[in-house]
Amino acid sequence: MLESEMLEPFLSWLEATRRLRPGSIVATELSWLGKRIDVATLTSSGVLTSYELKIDHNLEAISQAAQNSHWFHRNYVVTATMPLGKNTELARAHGLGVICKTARGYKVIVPAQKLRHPSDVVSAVRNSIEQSVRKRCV
Amino acid sequence: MLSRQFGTVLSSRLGNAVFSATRPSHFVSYSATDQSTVRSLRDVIDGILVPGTVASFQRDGTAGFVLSLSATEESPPYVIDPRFPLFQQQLVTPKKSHWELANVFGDPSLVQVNRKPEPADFDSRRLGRIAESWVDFNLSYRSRNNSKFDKYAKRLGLLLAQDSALGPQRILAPYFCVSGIRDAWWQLSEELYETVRNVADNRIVVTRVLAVDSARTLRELVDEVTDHEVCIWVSGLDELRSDPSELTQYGEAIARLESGGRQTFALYGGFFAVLLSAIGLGGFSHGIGYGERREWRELPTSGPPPSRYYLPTAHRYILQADAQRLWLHDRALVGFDDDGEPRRLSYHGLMRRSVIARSREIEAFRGLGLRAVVEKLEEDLEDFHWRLYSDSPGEIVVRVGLNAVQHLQYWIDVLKDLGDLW
Repeated sequence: MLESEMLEPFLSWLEATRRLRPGSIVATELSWLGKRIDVATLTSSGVLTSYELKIDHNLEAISQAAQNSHWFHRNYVVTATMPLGKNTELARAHGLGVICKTARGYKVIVPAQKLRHPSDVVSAVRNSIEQSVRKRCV
Repeated sequence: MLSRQFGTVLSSRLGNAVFSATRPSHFVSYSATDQSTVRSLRDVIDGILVPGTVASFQRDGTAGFVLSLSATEESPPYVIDPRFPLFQQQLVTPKKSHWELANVFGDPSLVQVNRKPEPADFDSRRLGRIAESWVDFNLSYRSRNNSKFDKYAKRLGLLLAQDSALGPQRILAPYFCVSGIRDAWWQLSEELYETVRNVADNRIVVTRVLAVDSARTLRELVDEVTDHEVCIWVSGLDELRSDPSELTQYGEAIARLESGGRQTFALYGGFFAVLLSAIGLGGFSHGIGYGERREWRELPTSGPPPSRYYLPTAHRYILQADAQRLWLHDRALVGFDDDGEPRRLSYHGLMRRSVIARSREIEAFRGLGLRAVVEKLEEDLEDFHWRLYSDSPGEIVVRVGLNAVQHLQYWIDVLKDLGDLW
């Protein structure tokens, strides 16, 4: 499976599980400060969430999600390969969430902590997502 | 005060700002997105390198900006890079700037859409026309009535007279990127350089650009260059990722040029270029926030580069997010005390900071011999590691930190090779 093939089913799962509700905005491949974030969402209440999708190489995904955590309220690694215990613990230690694609669909292995960021930082990310919107949930 | 009359042999009132025997001269490459940074830091930089594509496509705006700066007290000198290797390749989807630059050379057919140009396409007559057009463009650059001069003077907050503006400090002769002494493009580069010199006829200094495909080729060609001053460019040389043997060859070429009494200026360089001033590199240029290396083959994309954070403790750019992580662990890891959180810096804040950081690095290493440079670099690396591993760092911050400095030991080893300091 390619990471690109993960995207649509994952977005459908986010909607089906009400993580994307009416009024939410979704951006994919968001260009942000020299890197690309696979999925970035903004809810109507202003909560920013990032998702880094990886087939495997979970440690790399954790690093990327950790980078996002300076700007997003919640940050997830979304993987098609169950992470090793030590990587799961590493993610947890950094407040990152882990979602794993299983045979039965996506499952939250570790919930992400909600982080707080200064308003100017949040505004900058919001503006970027609004300019790059892929989908508005209705 | 030197004569500003059009047509006299010009010397910068700052002396020879491009090539410097006592310090590396620090030029930045101009683009329209960098105007506010260059404007605010004109007393920090030594000069501006204007890409020919920008000078021709955004002609009035670029000229207005550059000329207004030249009329200030700081008056950073500037030169225009002809970017001629552009016309050495097939341009399947040429940009407007490519056509405009070709027009500046008086030769729209320089843009080849359907075929790869060959050396045989350039006979002496054609080279002569190109040379004449380029010399004319440079010599008349300040004398054209520029409609944007006043606009940019206003942005400087100064009352400036257009007739106080200066032309380019020297002409960079158009050049081809070459692969060796037997390369037909090398013969053409030689002829083009001599033709430009003849056309310029001592009205302005003309400088050769030695553009090559590898450090090995540079090493091969240095003995063919007898000019007192030469600009050099090794296409694609990546100071952070190139094999150490390539960096060593690069350094050896510069040292050989210097030992033969020839001064060098690197069209593209980062901090490794600062280090090479210890073996004679007289100056270098880089884009603001990017552009420490360049491939001669044109990329299909354009647009402003992504913003990155300059990490003076590692002498390189890193992602803003990585800088934030290091800052959270130990603020001294990211250098400057006065900038606050890396993540809160705007694009222009990052750009401005990078130029100031580079200027401070040059000052910190200025005048040091090779042994002292190596010792200082070793101290920097040790200090970084010490701070990184203090206070129980997490695995991710260690990973980020080690990635940030992994090139430093390569540089140390290369410099030791160059100076036989083992």
